[in-house]
Amino acid sequence: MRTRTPVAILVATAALATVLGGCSPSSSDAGAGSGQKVTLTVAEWTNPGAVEFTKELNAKFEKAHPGVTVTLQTAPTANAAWQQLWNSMLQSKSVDVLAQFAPTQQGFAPDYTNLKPGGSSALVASGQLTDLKDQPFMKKYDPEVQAAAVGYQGGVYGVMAAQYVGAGGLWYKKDLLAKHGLSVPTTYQEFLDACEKLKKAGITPIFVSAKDGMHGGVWQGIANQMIMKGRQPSESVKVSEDRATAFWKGTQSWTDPVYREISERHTKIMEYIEPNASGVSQQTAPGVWATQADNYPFLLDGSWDGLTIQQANPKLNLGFFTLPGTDDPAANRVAFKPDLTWVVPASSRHKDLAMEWLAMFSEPGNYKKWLEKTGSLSTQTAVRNTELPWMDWLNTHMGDAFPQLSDPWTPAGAPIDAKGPDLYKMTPIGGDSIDTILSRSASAYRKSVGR
Amino acid sequence: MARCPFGTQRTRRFIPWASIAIPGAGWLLFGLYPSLATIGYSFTRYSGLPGTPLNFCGLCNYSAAFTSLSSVVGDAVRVTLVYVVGATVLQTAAGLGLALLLNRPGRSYAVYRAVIFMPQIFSVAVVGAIFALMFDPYSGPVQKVVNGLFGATSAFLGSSSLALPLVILVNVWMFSGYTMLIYIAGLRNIPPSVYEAAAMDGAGRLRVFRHVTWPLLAPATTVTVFLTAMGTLGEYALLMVLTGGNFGTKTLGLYMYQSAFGGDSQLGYGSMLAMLQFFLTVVIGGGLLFTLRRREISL
Repeated sequence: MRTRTPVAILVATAALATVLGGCSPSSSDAGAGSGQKVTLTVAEWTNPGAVEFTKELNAKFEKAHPGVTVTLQTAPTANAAWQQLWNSMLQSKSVDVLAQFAPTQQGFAPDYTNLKPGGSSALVASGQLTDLKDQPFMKKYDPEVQAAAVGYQGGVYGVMAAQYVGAGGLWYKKDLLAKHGLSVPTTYQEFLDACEKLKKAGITPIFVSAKDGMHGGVWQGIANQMIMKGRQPSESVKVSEDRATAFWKGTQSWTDPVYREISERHTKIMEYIEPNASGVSQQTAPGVWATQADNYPFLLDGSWDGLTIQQANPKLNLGFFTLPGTDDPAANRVAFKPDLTWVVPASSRHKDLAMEWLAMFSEPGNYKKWLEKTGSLSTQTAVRNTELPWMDWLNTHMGDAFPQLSDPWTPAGAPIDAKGPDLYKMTPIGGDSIDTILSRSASAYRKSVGR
Repeated sequence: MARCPFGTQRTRRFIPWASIAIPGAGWLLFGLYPSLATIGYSFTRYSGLPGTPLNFCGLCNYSAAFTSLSSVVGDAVRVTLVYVVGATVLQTAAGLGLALLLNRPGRSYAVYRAVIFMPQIFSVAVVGAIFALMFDPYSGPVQKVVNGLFGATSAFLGSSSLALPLVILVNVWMFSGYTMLIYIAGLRNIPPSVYEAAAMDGAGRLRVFRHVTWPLLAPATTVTVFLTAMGTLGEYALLMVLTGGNFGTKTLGLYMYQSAFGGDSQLGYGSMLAMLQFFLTVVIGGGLLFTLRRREISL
């Protein structure tokens, strides 16, 4: 009996290996074109327009690739559900095309900081995503913008397919402004004057979800315009990097005069928001705002919510512009935020098909539809922004737009203050003064980087 | 001799071992391994994403928690303690009150008990989402009621003074049915003869409760206080849905979850926070058990 046991184990192992070997694909696209069924898995977070478009594209892809089924996995970004989905899909190597938020260059702090990348930056830095730089479809996109969004050491690890205006983004009700004899303000003072006039007319000028931090858009918008004043759009990545370096080396701090001025302007604008804004969630804010046609002319929100607002009130004559943060109209430029980025995990079992899917996505006709459904700004050089009625202002102001500046580098677990003033605690949302908040931020940053 | 239902002598010898081995393997795989892995990860700067390096860094995370990031960790511990004490005291009181009220025979009381227990079976995410909508100052019904009754308005979950108490109340609403059941079981274990003796001695309702019911419910109190405190110590989901940890509601559990699985996931740092939470749980849990058991014995 004893002498037969090792033989039995060997036979069983060989049989198991044969069975398992038969289960795994022999090539990256086993089955495609050989009559076998292949399933390509695409995953993205729940954005109604994006999901609607992706379903249509998947159907088109299946038609063009007989034998291929495309499945779509989605989860909302709220409460980290999306994070859980993509993490588990990567763990189980069951996704071929995956949406990620563009890591931007902020995710890759220099070695001397000893900070390790987290999130999608960690995937890029450890070779878990496929370099798409040489893919033919990448020629359709602006290489500089793509490199800023998802570039690393000469490679480009995704296709940044959507970008929005987040910093200082303001939706407005065209008819309501016109009723009060107002047009889109071009300077900070004009904006304050408009708010004051509306307030005197018994109208609350601005609606915002401060519970979910959307009021941070005011601070970010002013900061981007003030810091980028007089700079070329292409310099924004360097400006971000220089600022992060200066913070790290202690030559710049949150108590510097520029941040005080930004905070003062932010606080002034916050005087015009609705009462109890800190209790309003972003889930309800666009709908509540859209349905009240005679109040709240402005909504502080990113340009990604166009479809939600229009669905809440299709009759609303809607407009969008960027908050003017300075008194120099030329400096009040649009800062756009890199957003949805398609990546192909290195563990994808159908890489060739994934590339074909991305190629089909990138075809101008399809990409144009993507822009229409999502309200995104175009990242392709040959495809212009859509002619959606609310995009009129943006379309005339995109010429000198620049990628939004990123925050200074901070270690894992750093308090919210370290990355910038805690606007939840700053007056009027919180009770703390600007000086207290900025001093606390400066101290939190110094402490978190161990200085 | 009756035939043994568990097979031959040899098979019978195997059954106890199998009974230990199967759950034992489950515990090794789903209990011990994740625990040891958490300890290991707490010494790294691991992102937690597949294929990314571990980046062993020794005590770097612990050192940061007690030096550069001590204020944020300290705040999280303070909020956790307030949350645990608030939820445990209120939930115990509510559970006891409901048990005294509903520990009666009759179908209608069975229905009431079921209704009060019902929130326990809902997902925390669903309960959180419903209450978040209810407390919305512009589209939720609570503002209308408060405004109608008191002529005042509030940001509710967006108010630094109200957010934590409201989250505690939602927690109590959700879980007090469970506490009620434990107390009902405790009440039914008290022999009727004790009440009869107290009645013969002329004790009123309040005196009976104080000198008979409450002391004899000591074991039930031990169980409910211990379970509630341990449950709320690790709570993060309800807080995440209701406030996202803003407005003074970031507990250690939520801070750990956001650090480990948030946008810039850093499992290494989150694992260190999990170890701190484990330490806090051992200290609080051990202290509670010691105190409550001593109380039981002295009663």
